[in-house]
Amino acid sequence: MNKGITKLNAVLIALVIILAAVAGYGWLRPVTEVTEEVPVEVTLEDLAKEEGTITIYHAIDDPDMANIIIPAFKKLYPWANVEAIGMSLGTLTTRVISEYKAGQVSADVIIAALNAFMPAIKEGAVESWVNPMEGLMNYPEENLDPNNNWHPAYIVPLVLVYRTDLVSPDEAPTSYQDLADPKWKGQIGFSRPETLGDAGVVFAHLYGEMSEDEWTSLMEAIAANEPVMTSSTSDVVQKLITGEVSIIIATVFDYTSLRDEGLPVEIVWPEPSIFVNSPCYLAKNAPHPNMAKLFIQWLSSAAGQYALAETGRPPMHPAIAATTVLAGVLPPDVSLVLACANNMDFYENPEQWADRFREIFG
Amino acid sequence: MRKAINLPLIVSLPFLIVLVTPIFYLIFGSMFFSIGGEIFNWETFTKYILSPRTHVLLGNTLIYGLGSAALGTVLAVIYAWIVVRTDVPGKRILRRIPILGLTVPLLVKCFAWVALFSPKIGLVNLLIRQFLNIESAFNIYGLGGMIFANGVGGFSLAYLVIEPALNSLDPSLEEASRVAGSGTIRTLFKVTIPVLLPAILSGFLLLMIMSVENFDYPFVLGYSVGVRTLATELYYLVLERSPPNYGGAAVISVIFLIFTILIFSVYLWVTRRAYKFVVVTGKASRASVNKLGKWKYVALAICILIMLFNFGLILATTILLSISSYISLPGGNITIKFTLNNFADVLNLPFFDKALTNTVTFALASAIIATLIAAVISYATLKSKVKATRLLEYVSNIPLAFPGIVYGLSLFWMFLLIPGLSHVIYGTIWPLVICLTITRLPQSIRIISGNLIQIGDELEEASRVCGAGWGTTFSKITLPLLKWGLLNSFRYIFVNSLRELGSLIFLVTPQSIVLMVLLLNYYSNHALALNKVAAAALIIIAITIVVELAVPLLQSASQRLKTRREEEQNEV
Amino acid sequence: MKYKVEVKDVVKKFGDVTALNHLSFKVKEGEILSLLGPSGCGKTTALRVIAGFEDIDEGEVLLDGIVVTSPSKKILVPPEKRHLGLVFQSYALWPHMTVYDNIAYGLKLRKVPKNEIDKKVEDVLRLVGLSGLGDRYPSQLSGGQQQRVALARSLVYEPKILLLDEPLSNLDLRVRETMRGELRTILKKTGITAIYVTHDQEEAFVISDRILLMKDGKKIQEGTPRQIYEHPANLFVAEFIGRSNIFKVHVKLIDEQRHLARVEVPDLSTELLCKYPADINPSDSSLIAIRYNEMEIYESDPHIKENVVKGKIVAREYRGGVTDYKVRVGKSFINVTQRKDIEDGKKEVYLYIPPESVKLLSIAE
Repeated sequence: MNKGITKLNAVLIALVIILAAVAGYGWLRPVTEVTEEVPVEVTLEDLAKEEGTITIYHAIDDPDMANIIIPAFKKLYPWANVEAIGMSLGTLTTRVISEYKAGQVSADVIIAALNAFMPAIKEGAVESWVNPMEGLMNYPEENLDPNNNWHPAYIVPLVLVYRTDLVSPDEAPTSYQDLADPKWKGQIGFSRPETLGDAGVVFAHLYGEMSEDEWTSLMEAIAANEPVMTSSTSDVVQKLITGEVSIIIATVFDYTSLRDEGLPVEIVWPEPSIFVNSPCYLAKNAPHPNMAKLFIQWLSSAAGQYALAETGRPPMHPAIAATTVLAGVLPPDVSLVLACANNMDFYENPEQWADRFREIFG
Repeated sequence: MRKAINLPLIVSLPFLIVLVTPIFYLIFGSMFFSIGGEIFNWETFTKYILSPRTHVLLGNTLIYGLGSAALGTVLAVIYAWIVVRTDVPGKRILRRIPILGLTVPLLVKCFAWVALFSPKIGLVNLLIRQFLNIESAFNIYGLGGMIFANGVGGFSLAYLVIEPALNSLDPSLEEASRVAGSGTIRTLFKVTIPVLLPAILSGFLLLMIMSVENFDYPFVLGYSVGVRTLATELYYLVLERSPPNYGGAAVISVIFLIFTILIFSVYLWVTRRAYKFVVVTGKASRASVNKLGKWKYVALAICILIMLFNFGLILATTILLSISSYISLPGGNITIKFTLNNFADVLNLPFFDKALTNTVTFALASAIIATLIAAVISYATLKSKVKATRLLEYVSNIPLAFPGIVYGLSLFWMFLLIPGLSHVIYGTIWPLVICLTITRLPQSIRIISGNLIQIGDELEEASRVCGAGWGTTFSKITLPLLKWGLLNSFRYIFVNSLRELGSLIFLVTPQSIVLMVLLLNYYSNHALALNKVAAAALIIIAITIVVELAVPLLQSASQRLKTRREEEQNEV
Repeated sequence: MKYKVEVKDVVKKFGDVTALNHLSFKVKEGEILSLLGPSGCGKTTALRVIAGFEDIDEGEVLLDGIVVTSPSKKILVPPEKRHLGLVFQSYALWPHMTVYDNIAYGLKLRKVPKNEIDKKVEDVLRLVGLSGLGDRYPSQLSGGQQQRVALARSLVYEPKILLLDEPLSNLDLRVRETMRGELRTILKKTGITAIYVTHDQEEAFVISDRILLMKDGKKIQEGTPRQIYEHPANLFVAEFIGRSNIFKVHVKLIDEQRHLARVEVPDLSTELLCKYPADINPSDSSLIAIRYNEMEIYESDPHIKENVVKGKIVAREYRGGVTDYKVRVGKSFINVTQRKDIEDGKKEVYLYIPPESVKLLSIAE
């Protein structure tokens, strides 16, 4: 009897050692760098053509990508094979970082919100590259990255949306501070601030607008107002639809979708009206770097920006956004401010903000 | 002393190595890939264990787990006994429908529960307010609501575990009790349930562990009223926190693992004397049922009520969602904007065909593979007398210990870190099949074990005496007798895989997209896509119903053949 | 002589419990040996050891002269290689196969061609009296029929040795009584060597050529049914075989020539003459056993010289054909079972106990 167990143990131990060795090897294997020199005579498009295909990880949804963006790209580059897959921001960040660190980069281009993707940038998973289109398109300085890590794609303006059949326009909130008003007890909805989603970004931005004490009392007052907190913005939008809440923090896109479906909703542009930047990035060690560059260039060109507008997302280029998606929606006296430009600590130390919000909102 | 070579053990071992490997990768990965934040080490571990917040989480988690598991198991026992051992009308249909509860994506389920029982806008509360003038009779938010929703949902799995065992039960045991003077109900409690104990405990164990890891209900129904569980914490650390906190996630995963081992130990301790429960001994007898007389309509009502909560109400809500653009319910003013576009929209989704084909393919593949492996492992753990089988039993439950997301993440890291593997495997459907097979293996083993434990050793010994080795005995004698368990395992994995999400999000690539992932991602960008998700869910339900209908049709055809043969003989 | 089955000094432990305690016996070819004993005596374990389902801690098992189980030589031939037959207590018929398939299973494994299988199955069905029932499923048969199928299944591939584990215990009394005679007939017809496990003494007596009585994993007595019945070795055997009255005695006189002993029975306030077998030393004994049905009650003095005692009937039970009487003799009671009726109401009787019926028991168990 004993001999049998010893043999079994030996086999198990041997297998464990082999696995550990394999894992260790993968861990210690050096990551190789890839650099490319582009000769002057050959165009980017020629180089991209040789590669022929591109893989995009994005936080846009697959239907919009496949029905609008990719066809628009292929109009100009019909020979291109574009593989894209949408995933949630958290998944995306984890995958990109993991792939980079393991030396198995699969994505060439990434499109994701900046604050969520920042950890990947910090880890070096992104290639810094000067995008010639940015100069050509005359993007305002504040809409560009001085370090050239990210490139224009689209923005997500954050607003308040409320039900006109549940809240009369004269009572409606006009600022974020109004959310602390006890008359809205239990009627406000937003995504959990600790996830650093829309509400988290808004509140972090407000921190840069007021003193520490003012901010803390405002946060606590809002928390005391029994807000309905959900795991994502979509969930809170559904709660507005069903009528479980009357006021939510959401995106412009949410507002226009609801309005277009015929729901009785109204939008509020509080002061300050902020937007989240959702740019695109060139992956370091991308398998198809030239295709990637081609795509990024295109995305920041007029064609790309208009394509994004067609999906209902305000493109980064202010003029194009103003004349398409935001036309009639963004009042002329409201100017959009980059989220947390006044609170860069938010980008540097997101965990601390998450912890802070957790303390306040539970 | 020499021991005979134990074939089942040898065959099971490689699979078990495969099960254990991702754990190494979870721990290595959390260290290798960590982005600042916490590292998985003793310090972090103790910090989590000692923190009062963790204790609160653990407490909530345990209550949630125990409550849902108990509810689900009790419902399953009642329902299974009614449809298998009594003459309730409509048995044929009643026996098949519990699996439908598994077809609906949790997102849609959560919406349905809120739409029905939210204190503010819930339809049921509305009706009660209307007719009985009671304000907010039911509140689905909070631990109570979570336990109810999850328990009623878990009923499906518990039923799949208990039904085959009940089916193989020797009815003479109950008959003996009846003859001795014990009534139907008393027999149920004094004879049937005690004998079924391993299967019941199996179901309970499964539900408990899965409930503990479940985060959908806690998120939707618990968070806003301050209820947090370990699972929501884990989800937060891996997917919501920026940067992700893999170290913390690894710690919580280990807590889950310890928890699973504890529960499993209790289970083993209670059912340790397996031979006590042998009741399929090859002493063949005709199955007979308890006649309920006029009570059979009460029994029918009970079954319908259970199915209503498990599936019926949710199906109604899903249908409603799928044929509308939105549903608005504030203060009794119900506005539904009807449309049939959702189905067209879903079918016109780019890559829909590919996604659906992928989904069905990997659901089929994982169902078949997992069932076969589970049969071998169940056999090895139950029939082998080698001491090491105890270890085998624990190890085979490891995938249960980790929530799908964690397992998916570990496998993702494993594929990345094992040299050469990712080139071969990335972009194909195989990571998904492997992931699904592994994460469903424990449930499959439970379902099959519950059935196997009742098949007497003598049936196999008789085969060996006749000269058959292990292989022949297993395929000619054991497998055919296990057919209920095998079938239920297959059905469960297939249906569950169709709607699976959590573990796959790290493994999908543009070439291997999967329907549910596609849809839920769509939803996270467009709230109104919920209705399309519902439409897709209906398509999946339809597929399930077709598959479910095919099986009994085949069965009754073969049964009719057999009865006709018997009749011909009796006439002679 | 070559033995078909040899069990040599086998010790088998389950944890702390010793199931087989230096058990040894041999079975000749064509012999039917019964392992008889109360529950827990180890008889089924012994059978399973011979079948190869259990390994042993010490000793050896040989089949047809070949070692099949030997811990010291590291041999354990698996059951499927021992070419035995085994009839289970619960029949263990495979419910998903017909009678034909159940029986043919072993032949198919041996790659016997189909037409030969058909013939052999038919032959064996005829042997057990179930011709024509090949297409039935086990659930359609009665208990007795299922038992015969189980028997047929184990005989069809002509094994060297047949093991039977309480095969009749699940049948009702009538069927059991018929079956046991038939069973012996069938076994003798095939000439097979058989080891039969049972706890029913009558069954063992009818079926076996020899009986091995077991208790606590040890052999207590071995012999033909008659030997065991007439000369129980000790108290255990006496109490197990037949119904006996047991009394303490003092041996007073011994006649070694005629194997007669005179014993004083204090409880009966009398002395009895007893005839003892050659292999017993009377001076070792302190107990006698008298079978219920080996005495006779007389209503009046039968005028027999020795072993007549006076007694009083205190209870009687008619069992259909025979009557059980409880007779007070001296300070104690003697139970008597006899056919002859004693007149109702008659109390004072004479009880004759033939010397051959007074069995001296040895102390050792």
